[in-house]
Amino acid sequence: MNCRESINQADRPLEEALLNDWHVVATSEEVVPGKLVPTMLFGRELVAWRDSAGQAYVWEDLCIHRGARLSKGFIQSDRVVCPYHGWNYDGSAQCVLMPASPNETPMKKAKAIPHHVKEAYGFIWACMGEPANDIPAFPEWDDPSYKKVVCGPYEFKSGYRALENFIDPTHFPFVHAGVNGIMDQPDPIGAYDVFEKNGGLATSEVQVTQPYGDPREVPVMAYYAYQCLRPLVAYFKKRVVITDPERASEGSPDDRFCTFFTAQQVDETRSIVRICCAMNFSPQPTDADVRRRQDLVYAQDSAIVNTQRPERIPVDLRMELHHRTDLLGQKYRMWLRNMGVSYGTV
Amino acid sequence: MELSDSQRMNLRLTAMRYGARDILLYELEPLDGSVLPPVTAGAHLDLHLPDGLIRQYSLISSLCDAQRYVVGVKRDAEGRGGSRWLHDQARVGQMLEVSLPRNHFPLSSAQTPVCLIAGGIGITPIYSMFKALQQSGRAVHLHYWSRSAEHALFHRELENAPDVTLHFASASGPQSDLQAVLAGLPGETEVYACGPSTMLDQLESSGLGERLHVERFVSAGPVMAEGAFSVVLARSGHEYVIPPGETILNVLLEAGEDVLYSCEQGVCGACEVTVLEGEPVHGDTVYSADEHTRRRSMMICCSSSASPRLLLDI
Ligand code: FES
Ligand code: FES
Ligand SMILES: [Fe+2]
Repeated sequence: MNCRESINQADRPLEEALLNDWHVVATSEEVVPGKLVPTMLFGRELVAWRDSAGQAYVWEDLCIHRGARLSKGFIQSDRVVCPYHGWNYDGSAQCVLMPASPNETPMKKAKAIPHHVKEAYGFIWACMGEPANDIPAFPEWDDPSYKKVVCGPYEFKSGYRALENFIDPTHFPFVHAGVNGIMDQPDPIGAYDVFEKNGGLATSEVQVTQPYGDPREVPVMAYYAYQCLRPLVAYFKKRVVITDPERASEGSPDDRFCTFFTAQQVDETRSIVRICCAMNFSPQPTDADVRRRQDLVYAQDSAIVNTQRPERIPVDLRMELHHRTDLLGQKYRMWLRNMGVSYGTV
Repeated sequence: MELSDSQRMNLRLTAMRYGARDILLYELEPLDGSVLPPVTAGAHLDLHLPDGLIRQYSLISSLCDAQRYVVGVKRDAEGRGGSRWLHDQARVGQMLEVSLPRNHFPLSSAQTPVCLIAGGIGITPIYSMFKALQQSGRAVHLHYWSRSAEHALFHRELENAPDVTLHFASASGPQSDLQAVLAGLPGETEVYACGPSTMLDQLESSGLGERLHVERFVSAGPVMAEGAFSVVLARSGHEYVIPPGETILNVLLEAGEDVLYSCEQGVCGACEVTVLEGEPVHGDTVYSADEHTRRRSMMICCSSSASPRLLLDI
């Protein structure tokens, strides 16, 4: 068994559904060449870094020599230098220099513990096991008619609860009163369909009234089609129709606002949410406009979601009370349960 | 009249009149001539029927007064027993326990024009609204879908009225008719609708937003079988008898079967299971009976069986 396998088996092993999946551990922007970025996934301490050619790496934050924390070291000539005895690791994670014995070729086993890495949609993704799937699709990313803005990080306790909140339109009038809903006139949420799609869950459109429905700050009727792509990745494509007749001419029937949502489950009760918004209407808002609005909305969300108890989400439906309007959240919990996801759940 | 704490009244069934094919009008009066609370258009009441069934029926407010409440009930052979009891067993002279009228479907007080949409027995609250709006002088047009003239309640009053369009089963189908009606609506018109859930679903997805007001007939609790039936769990082969008055969910839970549920009232969808054989009678409001047929599923917390045996994929 190599080091990576033995770490993966340590204590309580992470269930395969999560271990063999891709998870966002940083935004691309956060990991700049020359810097060691400590990060954490499922309670495992990791370090992310980038070489001068732009290649990103995610390793265990651990030197194989005596277990020092690599993120406390530094980068020199595209090598990670351990802060304790100065061992040098190159991009293949191989130790190429032991300063205490400079002329000796380091042993083959002197290797940092690397993980699979992909960079996509403005995020750095890692898989600590063996990838069972590709990272989920985000079609608008490759569509030049869409402007993309990465937002976050936003801190939440449970990433699953944060995701469930993301796919729940019934909280809009209360948590986002005046922005995504109207508190005095909450929309009754009509029956919507939840179906399986590519191994995930998807819904038919859910209609809600939004007084400031998108960064243009116009009142819209919004039609959300949601998807749960992975246990900690979700998405919606929102069709927006301007309801103010005076401003209706600003809109087009093809107007869409999409959000690709990711949660990094740091440990059982801490997570970091990062999103990428994609929109195709004009005039295009500035990046700062989009972020200002998302920062507000996600701050409103985390203020409530972080009060939810238990902090670990119950995947047994009996433990909380569901309603027909929560059908997607409910199917999400069943889906997690059927996948055997137990980390961060009760 | 003194109202009890639970706000129920004992009223006598004083008349049953023919309304339309399969629809009867029931009149209820207080015994002592006391004054009944007033009824507004869109209101309904609960009828407590023998066997513990509680059913909601819309009041036909234009026929109600301080001495009499009137409800219209359609006999639903596939239904959950309330309408069958009223049609087949109820007798004039009987006493029935009745709740106070409640209105979850009130008309707004705006002066905008109104479009009323009724499907089938959904005409009962809508007709009340129609009368109330006409009386108040507000612009209104009623669209009423039914199978045929014979099936249409108040057909005689409505057939030649200028602000009424009757729609009978047509070749183009109700969906496209409804679409055409909506397409012709002036922008500020408010829409009130009551009818089958497919119709209401279509309305809700038609972008009317706040201008749309619908009333759905909601489940009043579990459908209890009138006779026992058996449930076979296909994966384990376990077989259980569900006695009258029990739910499948309760019997399975008591036997220690691991089944999912949450609301136990037919509104959440947690207890949905696949039906491999047999004919469930659905009591939930998550999906329509048609949708259940398509999904081959049932909610075991609140549904029963028309066949002696159900084979479930559990
Ligand atoms: S209202 Fe739903 S959690 Fe509080
Ligand atoms: S438990 Fe909620 S529908 Fe059956
Ligand atoms: Fe929110």
